[in-house]
Amino acid sequence: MRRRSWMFSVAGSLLRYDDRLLLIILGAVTGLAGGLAAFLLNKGLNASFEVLHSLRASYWAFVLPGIGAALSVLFLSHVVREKGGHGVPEVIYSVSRLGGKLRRRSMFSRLVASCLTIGSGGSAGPESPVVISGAAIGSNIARFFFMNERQRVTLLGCGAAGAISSIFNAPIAGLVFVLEVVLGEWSKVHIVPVAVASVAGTELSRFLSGNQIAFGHHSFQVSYYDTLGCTGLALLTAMISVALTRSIRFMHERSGEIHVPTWIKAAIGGCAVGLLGLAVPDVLGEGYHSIRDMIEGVYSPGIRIVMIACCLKVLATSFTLGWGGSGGIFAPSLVAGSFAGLVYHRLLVLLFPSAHWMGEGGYALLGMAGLVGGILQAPLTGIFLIVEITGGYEVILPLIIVSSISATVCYFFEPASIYMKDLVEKGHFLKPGTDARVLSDLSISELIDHDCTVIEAGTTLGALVKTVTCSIRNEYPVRDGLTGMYLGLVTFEDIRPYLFDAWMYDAVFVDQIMNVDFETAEITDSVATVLDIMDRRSLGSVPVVDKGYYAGMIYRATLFEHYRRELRVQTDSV
Amino acid sequence: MKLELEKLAKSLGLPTDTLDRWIRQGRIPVTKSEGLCDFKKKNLTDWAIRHQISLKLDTAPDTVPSPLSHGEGPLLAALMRGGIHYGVRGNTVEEVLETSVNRISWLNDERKAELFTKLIERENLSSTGIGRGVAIPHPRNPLSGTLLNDAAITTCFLEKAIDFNAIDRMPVHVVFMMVCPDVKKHLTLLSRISFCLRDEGFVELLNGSPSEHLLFDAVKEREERLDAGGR
Repeated sequence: MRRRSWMFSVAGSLLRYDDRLLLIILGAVTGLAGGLAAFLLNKGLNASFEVLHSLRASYWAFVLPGIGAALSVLFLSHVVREKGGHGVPEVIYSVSRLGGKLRRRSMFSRLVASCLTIGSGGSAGPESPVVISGAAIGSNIARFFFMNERQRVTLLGCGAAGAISSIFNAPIAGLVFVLEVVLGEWSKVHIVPVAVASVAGTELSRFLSGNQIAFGHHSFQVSYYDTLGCTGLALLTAMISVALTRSIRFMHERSGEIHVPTWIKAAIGGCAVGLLGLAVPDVLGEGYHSIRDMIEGVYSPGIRIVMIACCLKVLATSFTLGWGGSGGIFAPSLVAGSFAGLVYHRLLVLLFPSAHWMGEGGYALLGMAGLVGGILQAPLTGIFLIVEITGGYEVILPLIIVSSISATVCYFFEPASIYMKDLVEKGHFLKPGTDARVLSDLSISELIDHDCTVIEAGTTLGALVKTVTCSIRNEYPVRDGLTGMYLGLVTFEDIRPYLFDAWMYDAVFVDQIMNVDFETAEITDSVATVLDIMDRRSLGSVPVVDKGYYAGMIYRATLFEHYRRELRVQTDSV
Repeated sequence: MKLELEKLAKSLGLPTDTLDRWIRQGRIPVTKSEGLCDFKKKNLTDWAIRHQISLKLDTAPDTVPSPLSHGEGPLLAALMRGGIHYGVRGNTVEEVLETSVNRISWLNDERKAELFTKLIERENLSSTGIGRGVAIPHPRNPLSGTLLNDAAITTCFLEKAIDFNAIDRMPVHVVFMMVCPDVKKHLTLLSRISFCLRDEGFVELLNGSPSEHLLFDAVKEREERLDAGGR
C-alpha cells in the first residue's frame, strides 16, 4: 500500500484536475505493453512452427492440432481457470458491463493457450488473444493507479490498440478496430490516447522486428471494371462470413451436446482439423504464408482446389474454435477471404476474358477486406487493415465497396457480429448512451421515493382523509398492522367519490377500498423491469417491496427526470 | 475542495447512490480520497452548468439557523429560528421595522437593508396590521440571493403600541416579522398564525408580552390541535 501511496498522490492530483495528459502518457505505456504481448506471441508461434516442422511429415501429424487444442484447454481450465473462446467478446463484455475490469491472469493466459492451439496447427488467429492480453494489461494498469471506470476503459482500449497495431504493423487499423469494435464509440476522450497507444505499439513492433509490411507491397492497376465487378465479390464474402459465423456457432452447440471433458472435445476438434489439413495443408495454422502467395499471384492450385480450400478453411476454423480451441477469427477470415477473392477473380476471367481485370492478388485483398468487414461487421477496420498490411492504396475504391457492402449484407442475415452475438442474446451488449445502457446503470435505490404516507389496514376512511390533507403524494401504501407486511395500495382516485361523505368516514376501512392487484416491483429488480410494468399497465407509479415489506414508490416523473440527467451525463464526457 | 459524499450529493440535488456511481464511473470531475469527495470547485461548477445540473456549494453567511429541537410544527419551528425580542422601540411603522430588522442576528448588513426596503414597500401597498394588536410585516418576494433553507419569524414585542394602520384601527404591540424561502411556506405560516389569533386565550397571552417559554408552549398547543384536525 505504501508502495502505491506516492503514485496515488501524483496520479490523483493530476486526475482530479485534468486526466487527458495522464491518459496519453499511460496510453503510450499500455500501447507498448500490448505491442510487446503481440511480439511475444508472434515469436512463440514462429518457434512452435519450427519445433513441430519436422513432425508434420509423419502420418500421425493430424493429431498435433488435437494435442495442442487439448493442452490449451487444460492450461486454461486447470492452470489459470479461464474460459476458452476467442477473447474479444470478453473484452467487449468488460467494457459494456464491468467498467473495463479484466483479470490479471488474462494478460498472459490467452497468449499461452493460443500459442498451443495455433502453433500445433489449429485454424485460428493470434489477434484476438493479443487483444485480450493488451486489454487486460491496460485494465490492470488503470487498477494500479486507482483510476475510474471511464479511464480504465480508455486504457483497456489503448492496450488492445497497441496489440493489434503491433501484430499487423498497422496503427490506423489498431485505432479503428478498437473504436469500431471494442469500445463501440468514437468519443474524443478515447481517440487521442488510443491513437497514441497505436503509434507506441507499432513503433515497438518496428523496433523489434523491423518495419515490415505483413504481406509486402504490390502495385495493382485498378480499372472501373474492378470497381463494378467487386460488388459480386462483396456478396460472396458476405455469404462466407455468414457461413463462418453460423458454422462456428453450430459446432459450438454440437460440442455442447457431447458430455465429455472440454479438453477431449478440443482434442476431437483439433484432430478433425488435422485430418482436413492432410487434404489441404493451407487450412492449418494462421495461414499467412498462403495469403502471401495469393497476393503475389503465385498461388498455383486450380480454381476447384481453391474453392475446396475456402470451404475447408471455414470448416477447420469452426472445428478449432467451436470445439474449444483458443484463438481468434481474424486470421482465418483473412485466409478464407483471400481464397474467396481468388476464386471470384478466376471466375471473372473465365466469364469475361476480354475485360481488363487487375491481378488476382488484388482480388485476394478485396476478399480479405470483405470477410473482415462482414464477419466483424466493422467495414472501416476491414478497409484500413488491408490498406495498411499490404501498403496498397491503389485498391482503396473497390476495397471500400467490398467491405461496406459485405458488412451491410451480413447485417441483414446476422444482425450481431460474431463477437457480439452471444452478448446481444444475453442482453449484455450495451452501447454507451443507449436506452438499455442508461436503464442498466440506474438502480431502483437511486430512483425510489420515500415520501408516501404509509397507512395501516385498520385505518378508517375518516383518518385517511385527514392524512390526505397533509400528504404530498396521491398514493397511500397499506401495511398490515401486526406484521408490517405490504398489503396493497389506495390511490386518491379510489377515495375521491367518498371524500365529502362524512357519514362514511367511520363506516369504511382502507382495507376495503385498497387495490390488492396493483403490480409491485421487487427492490432487486432492474429499472427496465419497473418501466416495463409501468408501460404494460399504463401506471404512473409502482410500489417497491423488499421481501414483502413496503420499501418506497417509483414515479414515472422521477424516473424520467433521472433518465434525462443520466443521458445528458453519459452522452457528454467530463 | 473536500466534502462528504452525502453533502456533495445534496448540493448537486442527486441521490447519494447516483453520485457514488458517477464518481466510480468517472462521469463527474470528482475523486474520492479517504472517504471524502475531492474536487476542484471551478471544474465541478463548469461540469454542472454543461450538464444542466444545479449545484449549490456555497454555505451562505446568512443561512437561517437550523431548528433547535425536533418534532415541532412549522410555526413553532419558524418562531424558534427567528427568536423573540422585547422592548423594541419606535414611534412610527418605519422606526419599528428598522429597529426590528436590526435585531436579526443572522442577516448581514446588506441583507438587512434589502429586507427593510422590501418591508416598507410591502407596507406601502397595504398595512400588514391584521388586527387585535398584531402585525406581520413581510417582504412580498423572497430576499435576493439569500439561501434560506427554512422560514424564520422574528417576534418583536414593542415598547409601546403604535398606529400600524391596521384593519381594525387598533394600535399594534406585537410584530411577527416573517422571512420565507418561498410563497408556499409563507402561506402555511400565515394560515397558522391566523389560526392562533382566532383563539382569545392566545391574544390575551400576547397582550401580556409572555416569556419565550410561555409563548412557545402556547403555539405548540395550538399547532398540535390544528394538526389533529381541530379546525
